[in-house]
Amino acid sequence: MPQKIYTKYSPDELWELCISNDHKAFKELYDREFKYLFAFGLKIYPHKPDVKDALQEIFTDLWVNKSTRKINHIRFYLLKSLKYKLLKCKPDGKIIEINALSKEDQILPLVVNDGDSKAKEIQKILSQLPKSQQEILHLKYYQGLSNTQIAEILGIKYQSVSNRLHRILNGFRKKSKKISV
Amino acid sequence: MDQESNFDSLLNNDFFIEWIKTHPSESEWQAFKAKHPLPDEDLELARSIIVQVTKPPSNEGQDYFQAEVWKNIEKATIPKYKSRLKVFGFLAIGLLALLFIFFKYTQQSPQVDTNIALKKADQWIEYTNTSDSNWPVDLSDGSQVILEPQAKLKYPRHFSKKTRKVQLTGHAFFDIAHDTLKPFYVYTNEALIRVLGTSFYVKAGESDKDVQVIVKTGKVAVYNGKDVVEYRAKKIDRIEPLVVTANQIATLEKSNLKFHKRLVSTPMLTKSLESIKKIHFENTTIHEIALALEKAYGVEIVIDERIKSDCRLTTTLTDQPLFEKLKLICDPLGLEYLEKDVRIYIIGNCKI
Repeated sequence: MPQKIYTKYSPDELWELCISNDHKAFKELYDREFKYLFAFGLKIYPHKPDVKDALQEIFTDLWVNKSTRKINHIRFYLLKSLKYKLLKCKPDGKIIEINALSKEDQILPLVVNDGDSKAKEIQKILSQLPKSQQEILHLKYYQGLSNTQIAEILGIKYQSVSNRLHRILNGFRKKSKKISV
Repeated sequence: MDQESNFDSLLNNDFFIEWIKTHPSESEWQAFKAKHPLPDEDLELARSIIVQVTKPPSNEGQDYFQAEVWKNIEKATIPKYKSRLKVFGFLAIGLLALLFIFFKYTQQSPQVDTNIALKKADQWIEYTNTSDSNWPVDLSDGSQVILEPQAKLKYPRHFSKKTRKVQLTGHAFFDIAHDTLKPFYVYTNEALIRVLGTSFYVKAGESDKDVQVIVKTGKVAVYNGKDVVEYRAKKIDRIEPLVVTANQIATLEKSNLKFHKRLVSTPMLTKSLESIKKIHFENTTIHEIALALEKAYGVEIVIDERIKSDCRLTTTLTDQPLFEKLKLICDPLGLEYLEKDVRIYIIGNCKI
């Protein structure tokens, strides 16, 4: 029997495999999502032991109760669970403003020495965006969240998500034009 | 619609995003560009943005946390891991009874820990390796136990203050962290093993006809379970452990509960001397060579009284197994070696 190549599955497909009791798929899902969830968690509540515990509980619970969980979008589910779990740990229940984060807490991968000059140019513009804008792009394209879901995760209004996206993307377009001219 | 909102709606189009994520071929992409009203420049930009932003995260540095948290999740989600409360009760009482008797009658009272974990009933973990490969279990003191398939280990989440105790059924390799103040005990059905800090292999499967303890490094004391029971009944007044050192195997036959020990078939260099892989001897007496080997392998070598100090040899020993080294030494001198119990004897008349 050919071995499953788990890295080729999307997160939602991995979740489907988890439901059919595939623990290796569960491991792959964990490996793929941990880093971002950990960074995202620290942003809500900058206390590593609590973020670790929360992630441990969420993933354990996910596996133990997999047959009864109705999850359409696994990444959204994970982000949302982590957010609400950590807000319970926090005395003020507020999300920290993303721009207040220190420089090393990069949200996007932003591999600068990678790809052709066009790719590098895009990476440069991306890295210069404010953190809150990088965050929205990440949630939108990497995590594949809808604008409504982004609004819930970030605790802002739906309209605000659309407006920000518009501003980011078109700002991008203008900058890119300037560079290529 | 103007180009700005066209650009915007393209980057908000789920179908477009998903399509780009699947990495369409260059010809598909060219065909798409030809049909789309936006200028190529904008389309290329939209595609690059999605490709760049959807790259998997590369920020390193959290690997340690990732592995650490996974370990705990794994324990809680792999069905083999069970924290059996009920079984623990019996186990704790059993251990308590056995230990109490054991210590009471062996006069090792300074080490007695009668407050065995009874109160911490929920702290015991029972783990059976139902996979078909070896499985490492890390204990709270830093020791590691590698369970072979089907092996079962009961161990506390945290060891008590005075001793470290685990129970084994099946085959496993133990690498025990050194702690002279906290002896480490392995309970099996027929034998009790006591160590301070060493590495050894235990074969104690239910279907095995004997219990075997094979020591890799250090020193291990093995007690016969029958002796412990007879002690308790006061049928015998003292109990002697069998002391097993590196490269020795202690065997306890289940049929007659008798102990014996012998050398392993391929003695290995003991841990502390692993670096000495190559030894050169220049016109050296056989006695000195034997002493070097004794140190390197932790195995006693006895030399025939008839062999005198004029029996000398020039040779270089590298990484051959011990018995081949012995052959290289003995053959040119016309000597022979034989293995008896746990010793090696070199006998014969030296030709030189």
